[in-house]
Amino acid sequence: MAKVTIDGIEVEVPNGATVLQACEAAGKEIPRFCYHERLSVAGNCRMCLVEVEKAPKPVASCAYPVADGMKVFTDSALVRNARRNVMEFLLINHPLDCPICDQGGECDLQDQATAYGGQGGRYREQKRAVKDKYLGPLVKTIMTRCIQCTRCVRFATEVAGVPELGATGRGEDMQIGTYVEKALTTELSGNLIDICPVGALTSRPYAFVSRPWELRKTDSVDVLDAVGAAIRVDTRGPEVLRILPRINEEVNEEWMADRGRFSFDGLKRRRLDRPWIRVEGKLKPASWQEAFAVVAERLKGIPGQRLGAVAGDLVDAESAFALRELMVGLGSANLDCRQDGAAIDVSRRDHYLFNSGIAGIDEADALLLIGTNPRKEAPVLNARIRKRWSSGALKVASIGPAGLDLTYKAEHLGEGPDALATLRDGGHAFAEVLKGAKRPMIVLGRAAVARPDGAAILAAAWALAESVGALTPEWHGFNMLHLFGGQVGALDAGFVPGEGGLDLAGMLGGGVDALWLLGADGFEPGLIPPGTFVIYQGHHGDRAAARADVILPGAAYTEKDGTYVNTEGRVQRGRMALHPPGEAREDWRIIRAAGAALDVSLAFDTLDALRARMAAANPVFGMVDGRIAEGCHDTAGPRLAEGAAPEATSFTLPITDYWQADAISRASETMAECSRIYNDATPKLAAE
Amino acid sequence: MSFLQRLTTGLTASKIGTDRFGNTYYESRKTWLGYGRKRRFVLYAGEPDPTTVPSEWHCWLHHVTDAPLSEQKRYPWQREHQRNLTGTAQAYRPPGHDYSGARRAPTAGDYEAWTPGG
Repeated sequence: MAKVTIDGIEVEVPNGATVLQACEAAGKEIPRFCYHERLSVAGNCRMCLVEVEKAPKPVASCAYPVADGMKVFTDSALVRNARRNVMEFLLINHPLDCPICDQGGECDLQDQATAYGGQGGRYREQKRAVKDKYLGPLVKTIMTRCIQCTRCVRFATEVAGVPELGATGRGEDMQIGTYVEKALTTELSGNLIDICPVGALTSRPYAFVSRPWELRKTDSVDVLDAVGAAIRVDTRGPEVLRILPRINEEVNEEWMADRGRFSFDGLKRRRLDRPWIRVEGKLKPASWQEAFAVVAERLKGIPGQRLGAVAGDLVDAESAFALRELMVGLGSANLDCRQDGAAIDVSRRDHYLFNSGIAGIDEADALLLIGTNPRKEAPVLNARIRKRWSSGALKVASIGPAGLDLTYKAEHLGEGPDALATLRDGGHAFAEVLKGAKRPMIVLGRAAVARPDGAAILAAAWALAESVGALTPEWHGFNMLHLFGGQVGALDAGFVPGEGGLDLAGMLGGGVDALWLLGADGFEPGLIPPGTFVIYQGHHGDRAAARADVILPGAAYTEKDGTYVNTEGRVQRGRMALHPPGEAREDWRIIRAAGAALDVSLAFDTLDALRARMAAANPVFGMVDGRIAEGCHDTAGPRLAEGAAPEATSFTLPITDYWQADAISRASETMAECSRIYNDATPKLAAE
Repeated sequence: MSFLQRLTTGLTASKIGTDRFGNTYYESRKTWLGYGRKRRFVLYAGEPDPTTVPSEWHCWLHHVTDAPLSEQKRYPWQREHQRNLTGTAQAYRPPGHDYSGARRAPTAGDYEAWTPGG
């Protein structure tokens, strides 16, 4: 530890910390543009100058290590003068277009020019102008505004792992660009907009839409992947204008994936905004009373065990729990939330969670990916793996399709489950790496168990984890990576076949006469036997709505207060940012009203009562934002039928098109354009 | 114009001119007591409607100019004077109005609802 005196305040910081960190520890604000906590230090903006005793010149505090006994002055005449002059130089080539700039109001340069700048410029010559670059359909560039802080270059190279951005030219001619004009091939490109301290990189869908002070900000949680990133939904009146990440060190740090960030325009298309009922083979608009009357009339004639319910991938835990209560009240045990048919063993929670935790990746030293491509399934989590890998402490291997670009080096061990057996028998060098690791992680993709031999693969992965010593009371190295934000919540709510109940395959195989689909768009609706009475409750007319006999319009994740559980089992609350469109209602209310129409007494009338009931049924729901990080105390593996063994077929990946993976992004025009551009086989070259 | 009106107008005022819509403009012969200047007024060609007075005569009528402006002198950017059409079939109706196609411009909160056909 080093003792440093900042403006007379004595602080102790670790050796090797920078002066800027010491100043922050002392509570002093240091202006900066190029410095970012999560990126490497560049030290090229010179805005963070401070005075250090006995140093001949002001020093850039972000790149200057502390020394014991150092005396730093952050507000001396020298420092103020230095900052003012740096600011004057920065503004020489910065256009004065704040009134039309999208960054206006939340611009670091604007704020710091006010706080640390001088009275006005003395520069009377021609300003520099830079041609705008094309960085893809999501990031808009106005490169004249760029102050060459190189945050974007460092983000793309270090965090996103796509070294496609760089600087060309020197001095005044320095330009940031992609060398060859192309869209940035990363799923984290939206973060470039956040880290850009000026208006050079702005959001294309948000261009000229709004000012930050016009927006109502609602803290919520992203459900479009299973990471459960903390987000802020910015709304103005009845529409979502943008979605930004919030800082949550445990989950997403401060990053966010593009699908969650940019797919919100899908919330305005293909919406179910009124109940529909099928009359003589044709869907007709109806009122809620008529819809419930039809539901009651049809369901009352069907015995309980001939009723079934399927929950989708984006449902909140409340509605899954409420529908389960309704189904139990009707005497049905046919429930399933595993639309992909994943053989998930729900007898114990650690059989289906990412037990090491997302923050646990920072401690891991060996990682095996089985049948998963985290870059497409959970880009933020993938960035975390990359961060650990970049530190040199993590070795990664993967079993699954060959040739995956994970943005870090991963040894490819095989394409199918046979590689698991080889690894367990020590037939591969990576087995020694796993065995020798203190904190080994086995990451099993959810899709890897969504096949006929899924249960055997789950058991094999668990057995591998056990054999390499990943299951200890201190460390739980068995991890399942889910795909969407509603999947774990529905499992925790107990939305799985009850005693003697049918799973999805059983229900589709003619086991039921009536099927309640709660946002279930994950399977082909053509598989539902004709003659089955289908109730579709959801927010988008995606795949299954057209097959339904009754449509009950529900709310999307921005439109209801909901509980979501991320892949590591963290219970988080999403909050209502705006009201559902038209006649649509919050899903748990719909189920509660249906219960009244079906004469099933549901023991909750308010959201609080429902949540209390959920917490009573499963205590994890009582622990919001928390997560029990504990090791494995019982190494007994998932249940497995006698004689079941993994087949030889190769693993396939569930997400073939990252930008079109769920009902909301399939309705989004921005995401459709991304899909068009990024899935185009011929790379886009510079315009001739 | 009634006989009495014609008589009193003829006795107290002199005709200044007629605009292209047929409205006739008069100026009183004497300065009005308490008004300080001669009174200028118009007798409408049809139904009394102040918005039928074109801008050239409007100027004169309100004592902005001493003499009426020429109705002949036109600039390319000048549009023909139009009286207020409120209450008539030609009245302006915003784009969202039923009588003008009922297609308003898109606004916040608009969304595209799902229908079974599409």
